[in-house]
Amino acid sequence: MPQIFTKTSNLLAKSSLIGLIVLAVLGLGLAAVVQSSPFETDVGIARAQPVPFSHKHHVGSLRLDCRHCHSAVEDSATAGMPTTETCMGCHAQIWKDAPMLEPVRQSFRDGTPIAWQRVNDLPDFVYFDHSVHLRSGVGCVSCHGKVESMPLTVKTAPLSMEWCLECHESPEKFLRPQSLITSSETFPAEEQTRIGTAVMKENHVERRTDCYVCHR
Amino acid sequence: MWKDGRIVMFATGKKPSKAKGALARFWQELKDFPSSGDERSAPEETAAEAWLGGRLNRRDFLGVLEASMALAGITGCTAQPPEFLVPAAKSREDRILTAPTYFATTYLHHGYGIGILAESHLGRPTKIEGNPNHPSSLGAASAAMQASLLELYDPDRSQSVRCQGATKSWNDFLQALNNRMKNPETFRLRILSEHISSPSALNLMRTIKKRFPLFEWHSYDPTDSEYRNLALQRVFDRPCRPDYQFAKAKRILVFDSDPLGEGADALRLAREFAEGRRVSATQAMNRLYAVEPSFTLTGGMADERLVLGAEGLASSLYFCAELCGISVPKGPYALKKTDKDWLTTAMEDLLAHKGESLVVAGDHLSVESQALALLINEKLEAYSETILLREEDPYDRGAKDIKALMAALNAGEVDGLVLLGGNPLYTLPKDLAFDQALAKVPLSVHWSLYADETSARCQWHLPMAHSLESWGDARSMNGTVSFVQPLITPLYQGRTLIEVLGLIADGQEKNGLLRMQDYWKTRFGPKDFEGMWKKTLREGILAGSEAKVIERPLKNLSLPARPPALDRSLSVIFRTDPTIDDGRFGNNAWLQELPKPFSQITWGNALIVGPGFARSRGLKSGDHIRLEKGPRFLEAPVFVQAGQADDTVVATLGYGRTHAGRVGNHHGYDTAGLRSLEEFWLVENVTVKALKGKSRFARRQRYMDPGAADPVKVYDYDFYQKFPDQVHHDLNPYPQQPNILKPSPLMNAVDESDKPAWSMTIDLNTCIGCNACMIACQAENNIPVVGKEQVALGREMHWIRVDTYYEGHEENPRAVHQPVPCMHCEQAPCESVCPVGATVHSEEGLNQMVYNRCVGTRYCSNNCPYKVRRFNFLDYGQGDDPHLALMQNPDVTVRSRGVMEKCTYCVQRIRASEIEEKKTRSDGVRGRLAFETACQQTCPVKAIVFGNRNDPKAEVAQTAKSPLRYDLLGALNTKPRTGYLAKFINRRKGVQG
Repeated sequence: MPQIFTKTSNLLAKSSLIGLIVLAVLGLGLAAVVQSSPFETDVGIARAQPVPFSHKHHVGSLRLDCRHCHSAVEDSATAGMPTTETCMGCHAQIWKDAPMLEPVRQSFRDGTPIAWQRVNDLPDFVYFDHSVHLRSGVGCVSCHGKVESMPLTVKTAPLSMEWCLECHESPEKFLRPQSLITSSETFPAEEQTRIGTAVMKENHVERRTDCYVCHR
Repeated sequence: MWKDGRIVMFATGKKPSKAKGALARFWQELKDFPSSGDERSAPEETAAEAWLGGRLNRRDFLGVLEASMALAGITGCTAQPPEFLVPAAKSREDRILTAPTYFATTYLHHGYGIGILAESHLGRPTKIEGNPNHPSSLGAASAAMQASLLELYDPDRSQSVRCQGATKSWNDFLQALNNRMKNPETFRLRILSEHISSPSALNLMRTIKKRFPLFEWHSYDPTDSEYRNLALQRVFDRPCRPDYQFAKAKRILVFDSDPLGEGADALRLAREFAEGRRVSATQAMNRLYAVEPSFTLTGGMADERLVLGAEGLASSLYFCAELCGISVPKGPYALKKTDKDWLTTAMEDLLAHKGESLVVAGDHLSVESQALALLINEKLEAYSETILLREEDPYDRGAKDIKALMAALNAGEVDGLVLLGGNPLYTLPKDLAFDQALAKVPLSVHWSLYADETSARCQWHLPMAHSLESWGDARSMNGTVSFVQPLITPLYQGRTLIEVLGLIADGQEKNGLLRMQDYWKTRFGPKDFEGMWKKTLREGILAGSEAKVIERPLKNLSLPARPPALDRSLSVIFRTDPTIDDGRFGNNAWLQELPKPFSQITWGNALIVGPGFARSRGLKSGDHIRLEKGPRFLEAPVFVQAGQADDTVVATLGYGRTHAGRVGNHHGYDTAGLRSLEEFWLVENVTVKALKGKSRFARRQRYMDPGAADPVKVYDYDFYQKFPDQVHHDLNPYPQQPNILKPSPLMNAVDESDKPAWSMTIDLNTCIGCNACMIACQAENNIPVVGKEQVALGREMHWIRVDTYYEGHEENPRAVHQPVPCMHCEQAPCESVCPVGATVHSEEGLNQMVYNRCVGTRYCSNNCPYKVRRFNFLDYGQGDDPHLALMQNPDVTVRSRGVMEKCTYCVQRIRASEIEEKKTRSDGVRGRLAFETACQQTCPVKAIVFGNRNDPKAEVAQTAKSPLRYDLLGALNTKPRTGYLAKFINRRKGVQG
């Protein structure tokens, strides 16, 4: 009876075993890359909005304060979106006939709200509160990036748990004094640690990593 | 069994070393009546096998395993759907739209107002709590009040006006109404309503009478007993209402009455009773005597309880009256020597506390019995002390009864009948043939929340607006006015009582709010109106509006004649169902799944019979019987209940519905067939016949073996006064043990220093077992209902349960209730067995459950000695109805299939208070801002205390250190953060206990 397997079969068997391991490692690596890429996290991807609102214009050029529109940010869990009346406070006089702003005027006329696509969206099992983060010294820029340079608003952080924990484990790397809370100024690492440690002490910020801090 | 001062238990044969003065031998189920036709006769394995279609072989097993692995992979990869941010078009300055807001409004309990605070999240009502300002609530809310939230979102609620089954509009109805009522002078209009306390609605009734001179108003409420009013009329000769003051009462004797559990004032009375029961150095504990045929919540709390059937009850009141020196017709009492001794000792005790004692007779007892109780109270000098008699407006009680309406209907003297609320076709005794009488009316209209049995037989059906959608007003039991204000515009086309009465009063469409304001403007004048209106809406009550108290009220001491002696045979008494009332909450799944106190039956009813009755007839729980009296009869299964009189059967109303809705149809048995108007609450001389049928009840699972676990600790109060140290040692016999569990790497070390240490104590001494905490938890934490079959498999999801233990002989045992939430053990057995670290400890001592990590091994539940963990087997929470999704509390995750869940100590409320504290405090101290968990907030007797143990000012810091606190299963050294305070029984020496 002739041999079924030739000598080369040995090599084939060994290399395919190694190959499987290599493939698995590569696959996992690829999954990790995809997981943290904008494909999965949506970082840097602009979404179609009813009105192409530009933070670059309103914040960067006109120097509007964040809290002018997101007025609930210091008092409630959500930052709050401006009502149509807030928009029309200016746009009843400026650019009042611009075709781009027709959805705003339409909403003002008949009272139907404008539906904006969410850019920064946490999973529903995470409970985030804007007011307490501000109070502790987390600036807008830490999560939302430099919005004053965004013609269309995009997500700048992956909002993954790993990313949240960077700050929850070492708040001193991110905290800033209340006077700079809406500013997008950033500091070199060493100075940031010095400022952050001071803010931590002043605001009694603790390293909070219990599950129930964010999940319930 | 009393062991000197404590109830001790050594059912397992091993006798623990108990202190003297303790009660022993607790049990949960009657031994002679095993649960053959009972719950959980189909064990879980059988269910799994049935699902797989027969025997589970290796190949099937691997198949299922593979499928579930694949499913687990797929479900973990669902992409997050895109979401929208939808800001309001108009700005509001008075509040932050995204933060929850509370509105003071009113819940209507059979027409009487109870103040509530309703929470609104982004315009959606999500939770109902009691209004601390309101005299009938004092901050508490009953199970039914809280569950009325589910009613608001119920998709089965009536959604449109209907005429003969066809969908119509309100305009169509108004036209039809005005066409019919062209000649108001001659139109013979009748209204049949339930009790109405609303001042503006009553005012509209007067307007209707002006427009229709022949108009008559009738009132019928299946829970309201006319006997009470007749007795009051007889003794006081004026319309009035007794307002019991349990706060002043040191001795209370109740005759088949449930003041702590039933009626619109139950929450207040329970609170007052509990305040008099706290163990303190400054006040002596009150004492409660109860004479009743079947366990009620009040009877379960009694220090001394006497079981008497319907016959003995009537006699006992005559006997007690005689003891007080009231000369009553003598007669052979249907009482045994021991019963007489019991009553004599009790009355002596009451008479020794004149001005501090009172007698309460059940509303459904005969007029004579209730009149006697009122006379006994005079002898006890109770009036103006422990009972305030409050004036009633004669017009409020001016409605005629149902008998007058039946006569007019049958004589064809009615041109139009408007039924306001209620479901008389279902709730009226069947021998009245109300449906036939209704068919004779040319115009019949039914306004109700559901298109129910009555709607089906009326020409017009009008949808009712839910009270959370309505403007209105109401009076409480003591007459206090409160307003009903809407939190949401009507989800369907419902209209309010004022709007419907308004349509009849002037035939015009007019906003109900304007009509209500019109009335209050006439009462207060345009100048004071604005201030009164705003203040009442904000505070929830109209200050100073309670009814006047009548001083020295007794008018008539004429003695009631002795009723004919009852035939010494079987009696049936009727009671409303403890959870679904007279059937009005039939479609409310929360209340259907809430275990009935004592029997623990869910999703159905049974005839409650005594063990002696069952034994003599060879009956077991679940066996069907037929009860007959003449042509009237009912057929239903029996449930054998300890502590139930053998000559009396209790039948509960509210089941056997056919038009309740998808949830409530075809559960249980309709018992109204045996009732008649004359024998409304009590049917005597009933014959009984065993039938072949057998039913299974879906009863809540029992979790703990009282013999082995020693879960409840009960002591004699007198013994405790003499030997407190012995009791203290008995409660905590074990010396402090070291921690044995090493913290896992995933677990933060429990910090005992400056961090908050959340802790809870539950006072068994005051818990009345009303189950309000279970519904509070369900509403707050988005807990799903599982349905009858799943309850029968032991898969209910309640995060807090209320266990009931009995002690003593089956004829008249003592009952003890024990609420059991998660213990948040510092040495948690669940944590050490979780293979994926899904349950870990927080530095504040919370036993955290991380849903996203949970893979559903259920090891934790197996290892939990308290059995408080709940597993979501079948995705119970994900209803496909969009209405029900609106009801969910947005601060709590809606859990999915295959995930373990349990009490979190309302961590969302902990976080909310912590954030509030962080924003308002500058010194960084945490856990000093008082707040309440949902169960604690709603508890009528304030038995649950929760807070930060490390805060010296917190109440829990005291109760946690109290020598009366003990750990459940303390021998296991789990170091639970939830502890219990021992129960005491204030026995009367000389009374058979």
